[in-house]
Amino acid sequence: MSTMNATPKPTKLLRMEWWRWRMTPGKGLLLALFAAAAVVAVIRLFLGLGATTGLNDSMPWGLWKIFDVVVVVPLGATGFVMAFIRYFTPGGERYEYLNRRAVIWAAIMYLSMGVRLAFDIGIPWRIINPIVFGGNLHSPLFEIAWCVALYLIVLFFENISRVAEEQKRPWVKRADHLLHKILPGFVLVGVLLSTMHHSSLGTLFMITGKRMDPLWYHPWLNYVYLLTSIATGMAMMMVLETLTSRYYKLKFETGLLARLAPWVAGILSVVLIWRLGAMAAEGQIHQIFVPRVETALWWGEILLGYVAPIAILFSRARFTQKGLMAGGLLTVLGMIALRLNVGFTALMGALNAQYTPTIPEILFTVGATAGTVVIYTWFVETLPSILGPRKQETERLEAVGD
Amino acid sequence: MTYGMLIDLSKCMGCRGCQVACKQWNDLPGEETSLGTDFTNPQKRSAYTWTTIDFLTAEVNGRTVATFTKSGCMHCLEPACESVCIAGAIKRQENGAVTIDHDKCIGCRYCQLGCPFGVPKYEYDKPVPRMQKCTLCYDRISEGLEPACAATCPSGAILFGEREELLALAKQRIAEGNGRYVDHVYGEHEAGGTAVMYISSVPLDLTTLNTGVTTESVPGFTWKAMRQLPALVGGAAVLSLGLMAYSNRRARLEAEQKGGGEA
Repeated sequence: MSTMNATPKPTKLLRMEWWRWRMTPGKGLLLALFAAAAVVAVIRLFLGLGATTGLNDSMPWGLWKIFDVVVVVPLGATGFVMAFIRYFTPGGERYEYLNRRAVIWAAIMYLSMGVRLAFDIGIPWRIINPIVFGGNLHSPLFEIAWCVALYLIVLFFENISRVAEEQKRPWVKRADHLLHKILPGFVLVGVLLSTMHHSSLGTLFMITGKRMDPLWYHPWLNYVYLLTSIATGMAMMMVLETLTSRYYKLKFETGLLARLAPWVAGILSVVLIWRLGAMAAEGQIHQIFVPRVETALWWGEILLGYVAPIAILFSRARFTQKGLMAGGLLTVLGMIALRLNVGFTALMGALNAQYTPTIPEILFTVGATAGTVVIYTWFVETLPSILGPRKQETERLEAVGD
Repeated sequence: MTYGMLIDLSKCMGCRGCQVACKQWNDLPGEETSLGTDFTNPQKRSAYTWTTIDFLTAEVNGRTVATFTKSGCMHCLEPACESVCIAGAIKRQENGAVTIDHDKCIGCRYCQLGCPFGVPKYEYDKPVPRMQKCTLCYDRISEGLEPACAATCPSGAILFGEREELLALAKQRIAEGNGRYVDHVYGEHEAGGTAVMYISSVPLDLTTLNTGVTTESVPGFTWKAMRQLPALVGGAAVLSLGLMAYSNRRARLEAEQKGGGEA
C-alpha cells in the first residue's frame, strides 16, 4: 500500500506512514473552531472561570460540565455497546469493523471529555489528584473518575491492534495475536466499568432529591441514564456510520444496523414507560399538562427523543439508511435533551439559579466537539484498517485475526 | 462531641456584628456592595462573606413586620457536601464543624450542587480559586473559644455549645415562652439534623430559612444508587459471560454442522 513499508528503516520504532490525513475545506472549518476553543481554554487558564463563563454561585455546573462531560460520555457509549455486541453476542464477528469505528470514536470522546473537564474544574492541574492521592468513596464523581480512567486503559487495548496491523515485525504480530486472545477479557472489564459510570452520571443529579423539577425527577435516574446510554451507543453508531460511509464512500451496513434498531426502540420504550410510571407513582403526572416553559421542553424531548425514534426504529423504515439515520439521530438528540433538561431546566429550577452561557463558553464546547470530529478523521485516515480489510493484506490479516 | 450553635431569632436586633466579626476573624476582604430592596448587605453570601443578616420585610395582617435571619452554614450532622466531594476535601470534624481542605479541593463544585442550603461559595473571580464557607470557626473552637459571631453577638442571640444541650435549651425556651416562640426547632430534623439550629418568634415563612428543605439525610439520596453498583456490575458480568458462552456454543455447533455437511 505504501512505498515506505517496502523499504523499512531499522531505526524507526513504528514502521508506518503517519501522515495520510488530508486537509479539506470542511475539516479546515472544524479545525478553526477547534483553534478558537483552544484560545478560550488558554484565556480561562489565566483569567479564571468567572471571567470566561457564566458560572456563578447560584449555578455551579454550566455547559462545560453538563454538555462536555454528562453528554459527551454517553456519545462515546458506542465503545462498550458495540464491543459487547462484537464479542459477546451470537454472530458478533460481523460487527468487527463497526466495532473498530465504535472504539476509536469512544476513545476520542473519552479523552476529549477528560481534557474539557480539566478546564471546567477550578484547578485544572489537580484533575488527577483524587485518583493519585485518594478521594471519597461515597462520591459518585469519584466513582466516575476511577471508571473513566480505567476504561481509557481498556480503550487503549481495544484500539492498539489498528496500529499493530500496520507493522510488519514478527514480534508485533505475535503480541497482537496474543492480545486478540485476551481481548474479550478487556471488553468485559470495559462493559462493567461502563455500566458503572454511565449510571453514576445519573446518580450525580440525584443528590438534589425532590428539589428537582417533577417533570424530570426520577427515583432511579441512574438507571434511566444507563439505559439511555446503551440506546445511544447503538444509535450513535447509526449516525457515525451514516457520516463515515458517506464521507469515505464505504458500504453502509444497513443489515447489521437494522438488527440493532429494535433494541434501541425497545430500550427507549422501557425508559419512556418507566419515566411516566415514576411520575404517576409520585402523583405528578398532571405536571405534563401544566402550561409552563418546562412542560414544552418536556414534550419536545419526549416526542422527538422517544416517540419518534421508537416509531421509526420499530417500523420497516429501519431497513433503509435514511430510516436508521433518522432514528439514530433522534435517539442521540433525545439523550442530549434529557441530559440538558436535567442539568439545566430541572437543576436551575431546583437551585433557583441564574445562568446564561457566555459566547466563549459556547465557543469552547462547539470547538472542542468540532475537534473530536477532526481527530476521528485523522485516526480513520491514518489507520485504514479502521474502515475495513486492506485489499493487499486481506489474507495476512485473517491469519493474524481471531 | 458535637458542638453547634443555637440562634434565637427573637433576640437578634440586626446589628450585623456577627457579619463584621466573621470577616475580621477569617480575614475576609470587603466587597463592593449595592443596596437592594431591603437592608441585607451584601445582598448575597459569597466566598468572601460567609454569613449575613438577611432582612425581610413583610405585611402581616396589615402590619409591617421586619425580621432578621442570620444565614450561614448549618454544619449538618450528615453533610451532603462531604458525601459528594470527589477529593475528600470536605470533612465533618469530630467537634461537628464541617470544613474544607483547600489543598485537596480540585474545584469540581459538586458541593455547591449538593448542599440543600446553598452554602459553599466559590472564588469564581480568581484564576486559582478556593471553595469557601463558614468553618464554625474550627480554629477557635479547637482552642476552646467560641466562634467569632457568637462571641461578638451583643444581644445573646447566637449561643455556642454542645448540640444536645442547645437543643434542650431551645425546647425549654419554647416551652417556657408561653407561645412567644414558634413550636419548632429549625435544624433538629432539617437535612437529617444540623449543628446550627434556630428558634423564632415569627413564623419561619417570614424568615429566610429554607422551610422547604427535606428532613431526610441528603447523602442517602445518592448512596441508594451507589450501594447498588456491586449488584449492577455482578449482573452485567453474568449477562456478558453467559451470553458469550451461549455465542461460543452456537458458533461451535454451527461449525460442526457445516463440517458434517461437507463430509
